Amino acid sequence: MMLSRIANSLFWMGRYLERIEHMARFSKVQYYSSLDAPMSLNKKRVLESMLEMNGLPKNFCKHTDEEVLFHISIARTNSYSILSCLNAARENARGARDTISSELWEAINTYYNKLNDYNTKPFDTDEFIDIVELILANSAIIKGLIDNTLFHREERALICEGIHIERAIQISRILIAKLDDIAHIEKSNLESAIETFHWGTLLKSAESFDMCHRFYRKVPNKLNSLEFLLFNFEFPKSLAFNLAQAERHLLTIAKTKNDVNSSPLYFLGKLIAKIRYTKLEEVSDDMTTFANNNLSDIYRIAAGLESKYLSY
Amino acid sequence: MSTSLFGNYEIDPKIFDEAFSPHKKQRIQYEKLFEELKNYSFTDINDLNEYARRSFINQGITFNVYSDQDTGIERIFPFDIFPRIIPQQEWQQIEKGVLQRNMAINLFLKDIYNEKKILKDKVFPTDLLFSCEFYNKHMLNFIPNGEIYTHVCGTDLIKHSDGEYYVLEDNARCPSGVSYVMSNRDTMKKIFSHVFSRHQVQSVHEYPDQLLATMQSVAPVGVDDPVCVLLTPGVYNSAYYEHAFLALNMGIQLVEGRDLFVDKNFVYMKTIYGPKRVDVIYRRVDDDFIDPLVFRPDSRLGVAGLMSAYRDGNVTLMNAPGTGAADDKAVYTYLPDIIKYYLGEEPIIKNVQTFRCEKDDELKYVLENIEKLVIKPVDQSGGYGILIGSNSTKLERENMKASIKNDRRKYIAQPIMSLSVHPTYIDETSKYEQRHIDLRAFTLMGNDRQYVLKGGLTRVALSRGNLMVNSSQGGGSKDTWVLG
Repeated sequence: MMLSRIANSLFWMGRYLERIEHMARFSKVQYYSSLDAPMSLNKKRVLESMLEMNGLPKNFCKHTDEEVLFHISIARTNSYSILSCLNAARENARGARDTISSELWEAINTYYNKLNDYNTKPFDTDEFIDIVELILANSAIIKGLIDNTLFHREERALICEGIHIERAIQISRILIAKLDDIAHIEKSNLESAIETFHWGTLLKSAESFDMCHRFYRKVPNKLNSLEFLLFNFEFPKSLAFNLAQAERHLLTIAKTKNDVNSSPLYFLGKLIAKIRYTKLEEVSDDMTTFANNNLSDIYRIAAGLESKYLSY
Repeated sequence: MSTSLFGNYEIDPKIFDEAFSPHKKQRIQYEKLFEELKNYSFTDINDLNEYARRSFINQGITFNVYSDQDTGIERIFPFDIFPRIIPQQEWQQIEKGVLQRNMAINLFLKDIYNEKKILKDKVFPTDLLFSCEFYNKHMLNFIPNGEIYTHVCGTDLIKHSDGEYYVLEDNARCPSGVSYVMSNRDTMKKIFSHVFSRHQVQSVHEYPDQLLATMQSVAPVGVDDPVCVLLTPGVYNSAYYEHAFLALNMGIQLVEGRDLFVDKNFVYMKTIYGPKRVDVIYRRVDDDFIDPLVFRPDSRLGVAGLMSAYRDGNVTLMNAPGTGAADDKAVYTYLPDIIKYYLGEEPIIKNVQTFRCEKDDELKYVLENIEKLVIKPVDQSGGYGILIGSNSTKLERENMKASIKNDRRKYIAQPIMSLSVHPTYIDETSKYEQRHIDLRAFTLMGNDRQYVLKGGLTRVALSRGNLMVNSSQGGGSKDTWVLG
């Protein structure tokens, strides 16, 4: 038995939990890579890129590193901060308190309290790395509890649907942000150390550097980085993998209405087919358009899914 | 006393101390516990308190203080780790007493909404009944499934300086606090596992099962496997933790008004599989808000058409609407008469002597002796609107006198009862001090079944000399051990 309202809460809990992880990892990788980046990498641009990924206006950058990191991570006044997203995840979990396990609820609540505790101490850039580590460790714990303390039925399918949809979105957004960074490199520097640096940070932001390196057995470049993050159905951070998982969980959800030919499933299947049968050479000239089109498709699928199954 | 924790414990011999005699001798039921506590220092107690505090915060047993919301501060209901211990015999009297009371209340409610015999026999004044704020005309000429009105009742008891229990008030609407009983116990078992093993403490954990069985027993006629739900006002309600806790532990759905709808006088919930019929609703939403078609039209917490489905017998609400007529503080004064009238028995637990300001001679006494009395509005809970004569200024007393004369039906007065005290660890002074306590006993009544939770919630007033134990007045709680 599951209320539609609870289904909605579980889906959004998954989305917020996943979003937090990407915000934290992206900001960390960007910021720390910039500290010893090749000379022409502009610090201002790094901060701008972090702010944009986290939904803040670019002009925030007249402030110091500390201020930017603070506002991204634990500012209560910023409704897009990691802390605010975690609070949203927690409020959704609280609303679904009778559906999820006590272990999962307590882990999410403790996670929030620990992060919130950083608001009581002075903040500097060293604090930021602690915060990111706290987030990544707790994300892993919570995903373990989702897999191991819930029924593998609708309840977990809804959370996982949220997680995979959100991950597909965030991977696409990170990719678009990096393509933008690379587009700003002066022509003379293309295919130089600085471009390699950007592809490396792209993969690290998606926690994919090691596996990509291992898969192709060479230093990441434009072609292998993009192919890996977009089209590899076996790697859990790739767009292809997450869409396939989203389809699997959506089927579980759709069965509750005996409706496996619904429009969200149709559009998701169509997008997966496009990813499966597109070759990188066909799209590498205008990667940004390709990535943007995928992103709008995913947004449309998520909205359709919500109105079809989760409205109340 | 040799133990360091209680070496400097000060005793006021005029008040009943639950753990010590006036000569500072340990009471027998506490001896084993004191023996165990000899091994503890104040540092240990501090550490255990901190552990308990963390554990409550991480479980989310918190309430928001609304003015604090901007800073995101959540408070816990303060918890004192020194348990209150009630010997078996003493408890049996309490259990019999609250059951007797609730049986009588239930018969009273059935009567006042149907035959009104008690009015015709002039045992209870008609005008008093019809002036009750919570007397609900939508309940007239209707008997709920199973003939039960107060499925869940919380009876507040105090122990006076004479060592006797008195009923302070009945909470017959939506009494809360039972989740604290269970959470307090869980925390205590983690902290004091070895102490537990030396005592035969009665379990409190069957409460959710008993509550569910109570719900099932009052299902609409002909429903074999009833769908039961708990209706909450939502996550922003201060008792939301309790609602979620009970739903989770009963394995039933926690619903909000917006999850339910009424179609052809049946109630349904909106699930991802489509509408699903609901048979029994344990509602933690006040009468006024449960159905905008019948009660407050601006309510967004209720379900339109619910009362009509209820009166058709298609769904059971617990507690029944209109039970507030029985916990009105002026009605309380008649409880001994009500018990005698319906059950032909003497009350097992006494009422506190109460003066009704609407009676001329009693009003005169109240006005002349106001500094020796507690004045309470009849229709409020949570300790709001109360004047304690001895702790008030002349101006406050004069204002109160004017309010009483202005609306005599609204006020009752009681002698200032000396609530018993209990050793309680006080952070500011880092030592154990006497603090006033009360006890809320929880009773469940179903179709041919009754149950009293063995333990109940001991509330403690944390500031010195304070008699108000309500959480809204800065009270805390203690685990309550009924010995087997």
